[in-house]
Amino acid sequence: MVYDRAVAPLVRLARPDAERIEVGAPAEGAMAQDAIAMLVADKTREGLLVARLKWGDPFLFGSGAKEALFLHEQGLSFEVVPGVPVAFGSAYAGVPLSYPGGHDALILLRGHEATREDAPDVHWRALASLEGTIAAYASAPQAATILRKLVAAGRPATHMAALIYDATLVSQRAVADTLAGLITQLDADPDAASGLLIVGEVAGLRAHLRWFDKRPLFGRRIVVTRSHERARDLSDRLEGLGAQAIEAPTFRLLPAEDPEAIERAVASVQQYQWVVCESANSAHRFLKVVLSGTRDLRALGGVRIAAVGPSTADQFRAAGLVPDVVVPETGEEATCDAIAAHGPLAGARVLVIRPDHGRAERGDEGTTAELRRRRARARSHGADCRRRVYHRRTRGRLGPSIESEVCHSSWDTIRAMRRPHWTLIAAVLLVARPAGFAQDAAPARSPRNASYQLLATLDPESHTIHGSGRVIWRNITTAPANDLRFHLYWNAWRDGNSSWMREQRLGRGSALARRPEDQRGSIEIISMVARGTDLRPKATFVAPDDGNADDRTVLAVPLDRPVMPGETIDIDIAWTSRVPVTYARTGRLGQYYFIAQWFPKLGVFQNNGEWNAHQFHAATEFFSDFGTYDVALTVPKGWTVGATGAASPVLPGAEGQETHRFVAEDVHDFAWTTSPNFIEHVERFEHPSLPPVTMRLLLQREHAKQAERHFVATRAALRYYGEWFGPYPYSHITIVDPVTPVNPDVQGGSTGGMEYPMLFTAGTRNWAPLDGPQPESVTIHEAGHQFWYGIVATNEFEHAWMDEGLNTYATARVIDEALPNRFVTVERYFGGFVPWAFSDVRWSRAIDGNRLNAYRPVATNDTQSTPTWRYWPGSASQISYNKTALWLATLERYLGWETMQRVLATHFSRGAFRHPTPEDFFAIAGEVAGADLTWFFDATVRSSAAFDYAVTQVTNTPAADGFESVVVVRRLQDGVFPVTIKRTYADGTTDMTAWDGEGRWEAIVDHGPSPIVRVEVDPNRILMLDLNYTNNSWTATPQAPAAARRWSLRWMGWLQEVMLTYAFFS
Amino acid sequence: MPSSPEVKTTSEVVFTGPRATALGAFLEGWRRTFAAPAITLGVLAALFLMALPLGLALRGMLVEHLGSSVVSERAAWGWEAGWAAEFATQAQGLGRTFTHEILGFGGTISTIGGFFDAKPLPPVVAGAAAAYAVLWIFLSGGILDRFARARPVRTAAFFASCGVFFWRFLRLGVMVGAAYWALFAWLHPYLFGTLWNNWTTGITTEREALAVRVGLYLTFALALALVSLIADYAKVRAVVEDRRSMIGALGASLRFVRRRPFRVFGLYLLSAVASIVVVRLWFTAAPSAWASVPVAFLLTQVYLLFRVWAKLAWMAGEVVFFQGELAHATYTAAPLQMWPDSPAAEAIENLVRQRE
Repeated sequence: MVYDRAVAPLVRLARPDAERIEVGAPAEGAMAQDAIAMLVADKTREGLLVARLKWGDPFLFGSGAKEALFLHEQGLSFEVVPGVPVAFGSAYAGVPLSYPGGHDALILLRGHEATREDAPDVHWRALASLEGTIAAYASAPQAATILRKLVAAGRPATHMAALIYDATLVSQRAVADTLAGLITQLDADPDAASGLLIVGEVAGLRAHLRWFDKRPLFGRRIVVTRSHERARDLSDRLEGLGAQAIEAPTFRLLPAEDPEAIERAVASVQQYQWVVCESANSAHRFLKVVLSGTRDLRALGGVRIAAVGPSTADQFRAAGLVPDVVVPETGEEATCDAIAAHGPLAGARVLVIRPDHGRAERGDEGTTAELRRRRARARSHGADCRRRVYHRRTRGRLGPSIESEVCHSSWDTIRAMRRPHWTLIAAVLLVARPAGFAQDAAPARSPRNASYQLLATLDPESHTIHGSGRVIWRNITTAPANDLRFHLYWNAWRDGNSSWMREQRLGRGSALARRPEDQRGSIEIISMVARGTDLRPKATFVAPDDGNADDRTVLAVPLDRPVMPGETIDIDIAWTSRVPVTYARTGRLGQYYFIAQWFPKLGVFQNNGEWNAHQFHAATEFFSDFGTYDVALTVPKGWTVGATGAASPVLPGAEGQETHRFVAEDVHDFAWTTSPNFIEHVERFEHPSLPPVTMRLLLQREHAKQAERHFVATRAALRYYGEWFGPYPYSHITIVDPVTPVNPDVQGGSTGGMEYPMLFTAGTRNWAPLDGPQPESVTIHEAGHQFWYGIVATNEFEHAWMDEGLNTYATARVIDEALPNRFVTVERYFGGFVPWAFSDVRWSRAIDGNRLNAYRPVATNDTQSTPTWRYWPGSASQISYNKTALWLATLERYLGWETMQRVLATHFSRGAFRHPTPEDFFAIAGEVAGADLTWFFDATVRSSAAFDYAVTQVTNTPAADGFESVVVVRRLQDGVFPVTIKRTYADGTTDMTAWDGEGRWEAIVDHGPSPIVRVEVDPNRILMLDLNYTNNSWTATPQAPAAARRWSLRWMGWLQEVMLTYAFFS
Repeated sequence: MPSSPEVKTTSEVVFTGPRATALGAFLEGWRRTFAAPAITLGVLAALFLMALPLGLALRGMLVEHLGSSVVSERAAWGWEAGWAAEFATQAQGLGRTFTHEILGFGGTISTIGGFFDAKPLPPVVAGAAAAYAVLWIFLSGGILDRFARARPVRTAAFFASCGVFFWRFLRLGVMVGAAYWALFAWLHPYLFGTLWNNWTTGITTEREALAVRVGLYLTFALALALVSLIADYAKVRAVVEDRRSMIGALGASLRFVRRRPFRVFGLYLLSAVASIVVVRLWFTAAPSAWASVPVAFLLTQVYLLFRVWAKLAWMAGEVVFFQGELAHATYTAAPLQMWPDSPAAEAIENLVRQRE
C-alpha cells in the first residue's frame, strides 16, 4: 500500500500483513513524483498487488494520471478506482456545491497547499461573472489571492463564500462569510492551514444545512485507555458522536497465565450448573475454547449461562446463545443475587471465567469468594492477563487532575498529625513529590492495611535514630483485635539474654553475645498514642514462643476498645533506635549505615483473633502486612540515601542536614541505607513484555569496576523471574553494595545478602574473580527475593522455606540460564583477602546451585514442616534453603520444567500480596500437575528422612538360555521415592523397571542371552535429595582402581608439598 | 681414625669462587647443590616414600568408595566434583583431606596461606609433616657435612654424619621448636588477634585492611626468618666446627649473625627469592585436573625437585658464607669420617699397625 499522508487514517483498514509505504502529501516536484511512480512500478514487478491510495479522486488535480501513464509505459496493468474529490467534502460543512433552482455551473479550480500567493492562471473576468459555484483547495495566502482576484474582476465583495478546514474530519472547522470578510480573516492569519474554498451563494446555506459539527461530542478529544483489542469499538462510537478519539491503552491483553486452565474447564464443563463470564473478553475466550476442535455449542449441554454486563451478553448472542441471566452491573453480590434468583446456590457447581487483571482472584473477595460464602462450589479461571503499558506523554496530558488529588490527600494527612514540625512536613510532602510517584499511584495490589508515615533523623555521632510518625492499621480479618502487637526487633541485641542471642550461642558460637555495650542495638518507645489515649502504661513485652521473660522483641499493647473488623486505628508513635555494629545484616560500619527492622512494626492479625507476631529468632526473618510507606529521612548533608520506594528531590533540613523522602505502595517493610561514600549508578531494565524498572546501584568506591556486574545480574533476575513467574510490579529497585567487614570479629557480620521491598544488599570483595560467583550469584538471589519475599510474602517465621528455598532453586536456574558455564569454585586465603579460582571445579546448578553438599551432613536434623523458628539454629539455613531447592529440583525433574514453571507462576500469581501458606502451594502443585502430589510432600516436607538408593549386588550366572542376571537394589535411608532401575546388557539393549521405592530392597531377576554390564538406579537423577549418588550405579568394568590411582598420586604430590613447607624451618 | 690414602683431606680441596658476599655464597651454594645430585635425589625419594603409605591408604579409601560405580569412569578422567564432595562428607581422618584444594596451584596457595594464618593441619597430615621434619633433622647433618666438604662423600660417610649430628640437632630442635612454638602461640595471636582487631575496627575498605595484614604477615615472617636464620647457622657451626653443645652453637650463631646482619639477611633474602621463583614457575606449570596421570605426576615431582633444590641450595649457601667469613673456607672440623671397608680390612690394618 503506497499512500498519501492525508489518507493515513484509513490505512488501518489494510490487511495486517500488508506493507505500508507513506509517500507524503502529493508531491510538488517532478522528481519526487517520479520516485513514487517508480516505487509503484517496482513493487508491482515484485509480484505484489499494489494499492496506490491518493486523496480525493486520483484523476482530478492529482498526479494519478501521471502515475498511471508511467505504469502504462512500463507495461504494467492497473485499475483506476474513482474517488471522491476533495471539493465534495463541503457537504460535511453544510455547503452544497449546487442547489436545485440555483445556478448550473460548478468550477473546480486547482489550488496549492504550498504557501504561495500566486493565483491559478485563468480568465478571472469570466470566472468572476460566472453564476455558479467555484471550489478550490488552497493554502491561506492563495485563497486570499483568489478571492481578491475575483473581487478585482468584478465579483461583488458581498457575495458569500465559505472556507472549510479538515473537511469530513473530527477537527473540521468551517467559516462562511462574504468575500471581503474572508479576505480580512485570511490576511489576519496567513499561516492558517490549507482549506477548501467555496465561492458562491451556496455558502449561505451552511447555517441551515450544517449537521456534522452539530453532533453532541463534536470538538471534544477523548482518550480511550482500553486495550487495542477493545478500543476500536468505543473509538468508533465516540467518533460517530463527533469526538476525536485518542487511543492510548494502559494495558494490553495477553493470554492468561495458565491458558490451558480454560481448556481443562471446558472439557468437563457439563459438571457445572452455571458458567459465569465476567467480561466480554472472558466470554469471547470461553466461547472460542468451546467452539475449538470438533466441539460446538452442544458441548455446553444443560449448563446455564450468566453474563455480567450487556457487552458480555452480546458475545454469547453473537454465537447464537442467549444467556440465562444478564447481570446489569458488575459486582459479586449482584451476580450472585441474579443467579440465586434462578435456584439455590448452596451446592451448585459454578464455573467463573473472569478477567485476570494480571493477578489471581483474591481469596476473600470477588465473585468466586462470594459464591463460596453462599456455599456454592465455585471454581474460577482467568481469561486473560493484563500487562501495564506506560505512556509518559499520555500522563502528561492527564497530569493536572491527578497531581492535585495527590496533593490534597497529603495535605489532609499533614493536618491530622499533631507535630511541631508540620510546616516542614508539609513542605516535604507537598513540595517533594517523588519523581515516580504518579507512576506508582496505581490501583491497590494488596490490602494496604498496615501503612506507615514516618519521620526519622539519624545522628551519626551517637549512632541513634530518632523516629516518629503514624501507623495506620485496618483490621481486615473477621475477628476483633483487642490488642496490638509490635515487633521491636533491635531489642534482640540489647543484651545477651534475648532468645536471639541464646539461639545464636547454641548454633553459631557466643562471639556476638560478647560484644561490648557500645556496639549493641536497641529500640525504645518514647510515646504511643491512639484514640487520644496513651498506650504505654499497659504495654508489656511478651514471649509467645519460648516464654523467655528477658526477650523484648514483641510488645503487646492492650486497647480499651477493640478494633472491629473493617475498622481502622491510627497510632502515633515516637521512638529511639540505637544502631548497632552489624547484627543480622543490620547496623553500621564506619560511615556506612544499613537500617532495617528499625521501627516498631505491627505483626499480622489473623482470623482466629490472634496475632502472628513471633519473637526474633536466630534462624528466622520477618513477617508483616502490606501497606503504604511514606518515610522522610534526615541525614547529614551530602550523604547518599537509598531506600524502599521512589525517591523525591532532597530537601534542606536543619544546618548540616538534608531530608530525603521515599514513598512505596504495596510493600510490607521499609529499609534504608546511607553513607557519604557511595558511588551511584542508574540504569534501566527494559524488556518487550515486562514493565520497565529503574535500577539504582549504590556502590562502594573500591568496587567501582564491578558496577556492570551488578546490573547484569539484576537484569537477569528481573528478566527470568518475570518471564517465568510474573512481572516485577514496582518501578524502582535499589541495589546496595555493602561495606565488606574486613574483620567480622570486631566489626560484625556483613549487611550483604539480604532483601527488603524494592531494595536489597548484594556483596562482593575487592578482588572478585570474573569467573567467581560473586557478586553475580548473591545479586541474582537477592533480586529474586523481591518476587517471593517481597510480593508473595510468606511467613518467614514459620515457613522460611517458601521464600528462601524457592529463591535458591530459582536463583540456580537463572544463573544456569543467564551465565552458563561462567563460574568456578573460588576459595579465599590469607585472611580471606586473596581469592583463588579452581578453574577445574565448575559450578553446577544441580550440586552447587541447589547446595547439595552443605545439605548432606544435616539432612535429618529437622522436619521441614516444623515452624522455622523451632529449627536447630546450626542447620536452619540448610533445611530452609538447601533442602527446599533440592526437592524443588526433584519436582522439576519429575514433572518437567514446563509444568514446574506453571506451578510456580500460578503460585506467584495467586499468592501475590496474599501471604499464602504451604498448603496453598501444595494444592497449586497438585492442581497444575493434574496429579495427587501428597506423597511427594509427605516424603520431602513433612518428613526429616534422608534418601539413599544403592545398587548392592549384581550377578550374572550362565544358564541354559544365556544368563540369569540378578540385580539387588536397596533403600539405605528412611526416605521413600519411586525410582527407575535401568539395566544395560552386553549386546547394547536396555531394560527399565519402575520401583515404588517403598521396600528396603528390590531384586530383579532377568534371563537373557547377554549378561548385564551396567545398572543404574534413577539414571536421570530425578531424586536430587539422594545423599550418595555414587552408589546408585554398577558397572562390569569399573574404573575405580584407575581413578583411585590418579587421585591418590595427585594427593601425594600435595602432601609432599605440605611436608616440605612445614618442615622448612626444621 | 686414620685417613684413607685415596681420599683427599679437606685442606687439599681448592675453594673456588668469591667468598663472604651474599651473592657469591648464593651462587656457590647452588653450584654445590648441583654437584651433589645424590643428595637431591635422596631427599626427593625420602619425600616420596614418606608420603607413600598415606597415599596408599587414601587410594584404598577411594577404591572402596567408588566400588563398581559408573562414577568411577568419570573420576578416572578428571575431577568429578559431586563424587569428591560425597567422598569427603562420609570420609574420616585422612579421607577428609581429599578436596578440590589439592588441585594445582590452589593446593600451594592453600598450604602457604594456612601456614601463615596458623590454621591447624588435619592430624594425619600434621603427623606426616612431623615425621618428615624428624627425618629432615636426621638428614641435615649429612647434608651440611657434604656441602661443607664440597666434594663427594660416600653413602656410609653421609649417613655417619647424619647419625653423629642427629641427636645434637634433636637437642637443637627442642630449643628452636620452643621458639617457633612461642611465635605461633604468642606472637601470631598478638599480631593477628590483638593488633589486627585494634587496627581494623575503623577500617572500611579492603585495600587498607590488606595493607595492614600484609604488614603483619611481613612482621611474622621476619620473626620466623630470624629464628630460622639463627637455627640454620647454629647447625652450620655445629657441623663445620664439630660443636657438641647446641647451646653453644646457638650462641655462636647469634654472634655470627649479629656481626654481619646485612649480608646474612641478604643471603637469606636471595635464597627466599629463589624459592619464590620456584613457586612462581609452579603457578604457570601446575597441571590441570584433566592432565594425564603421567604428566601430572611428572610435573608435580619436577616442581618438588626444584623446591628441594632451593632448600638444599639455601643450606649450601649458608655453609659457604660461613666458611668464607671465618677465613677457614677449607676447614671442616673433624677428620673425615671413615668406616672400615669391612671387618677383615680393619683386622688387616690392625695387624699391620701391630707389626709396625
